[in-house]
Amino acid sequence: MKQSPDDFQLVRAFQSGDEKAFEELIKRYQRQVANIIYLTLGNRHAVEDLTQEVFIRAFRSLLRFEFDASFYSWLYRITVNLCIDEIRRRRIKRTFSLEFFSEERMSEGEKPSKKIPTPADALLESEKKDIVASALQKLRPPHRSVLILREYEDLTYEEIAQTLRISVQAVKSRIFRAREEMRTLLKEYFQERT
Amino acid sequence: MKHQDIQNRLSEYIDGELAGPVLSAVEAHLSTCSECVGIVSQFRNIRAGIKERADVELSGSFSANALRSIRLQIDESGNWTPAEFIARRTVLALSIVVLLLVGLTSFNFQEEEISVERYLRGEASDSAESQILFNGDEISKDDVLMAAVSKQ
Repeated sequence: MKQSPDDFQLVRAFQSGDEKAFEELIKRYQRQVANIIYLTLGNRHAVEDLTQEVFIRAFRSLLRFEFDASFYSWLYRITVNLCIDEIRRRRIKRTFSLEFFSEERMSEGEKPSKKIPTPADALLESEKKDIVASALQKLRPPHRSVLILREYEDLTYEEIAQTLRISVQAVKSRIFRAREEMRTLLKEYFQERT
Repeated sequence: MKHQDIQNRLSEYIDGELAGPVLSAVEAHLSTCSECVGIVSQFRNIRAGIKERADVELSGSFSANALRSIRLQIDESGNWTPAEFIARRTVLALSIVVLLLVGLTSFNFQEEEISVERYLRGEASDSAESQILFNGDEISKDDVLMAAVSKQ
């Protein structure tokens, strides 16, 4: 049985001029990239366009990629950076929009607001499965990113550190804080379940 | 370890990042503390909730469309594809090699001409004279002949 080439072989093939190898890499990671974007931004709008943008950025830089990290760590770094750019872009857009005061704000320096609807309110408006995703959106982007990479992608602390270019200690601390914030945000939801 | 210390390690515990005595201490504590068991369960629910939510599936043609789009953007921006990049890099390297060879050759040729001219003008010393004559393979036969005739 023929074994499919691993990431290293595909990247090397691409670097030798084989564009088909890049298409294979897209197929292999498109779902993960799309879901990281979706979980980070909290809505399906533009997920496909942004996923495409991630691969465009990857295509442009892959010739210079030297395997100082795994390919997927490198790709997820591009994804997280793009999401952060997108959050900033949307925040600027909101600043100049009348909706600014009525929408949820997702800024890096902002703690989860006390004015946002509680998980119990959210339960009335949306299905149960939306509650966790909704709470996720209230985390600060750096906390949100580590939690998504850990919970959705199952990356180890070491891999997350490599992906985000931060220390393992910082990863540990951010994941802990993110989970604690999530527990606080979902307090009522958890109480209802028990 | 105290209850609070254990609680602060529960996040690492569910990630499988604990080992040795710390892991044993956490496990022992969990067998007696319902509050910490509750926290572990909440952390696991959060994980399950996130995994459940990640249900985006892109169309089967996404990769082909993405590649087409990349190609289009590259055509518009004038950026190079890997094949073009490699081809251009090879051409550049070959050009540099050719230029270096041409430069070295012309440098040697110039040296040779200057030596013969100096010899013909009688400016070269005897040792230089013999050097030119003994290194005849580096100068043309005509040069050597002309040098010998004019010296006489």
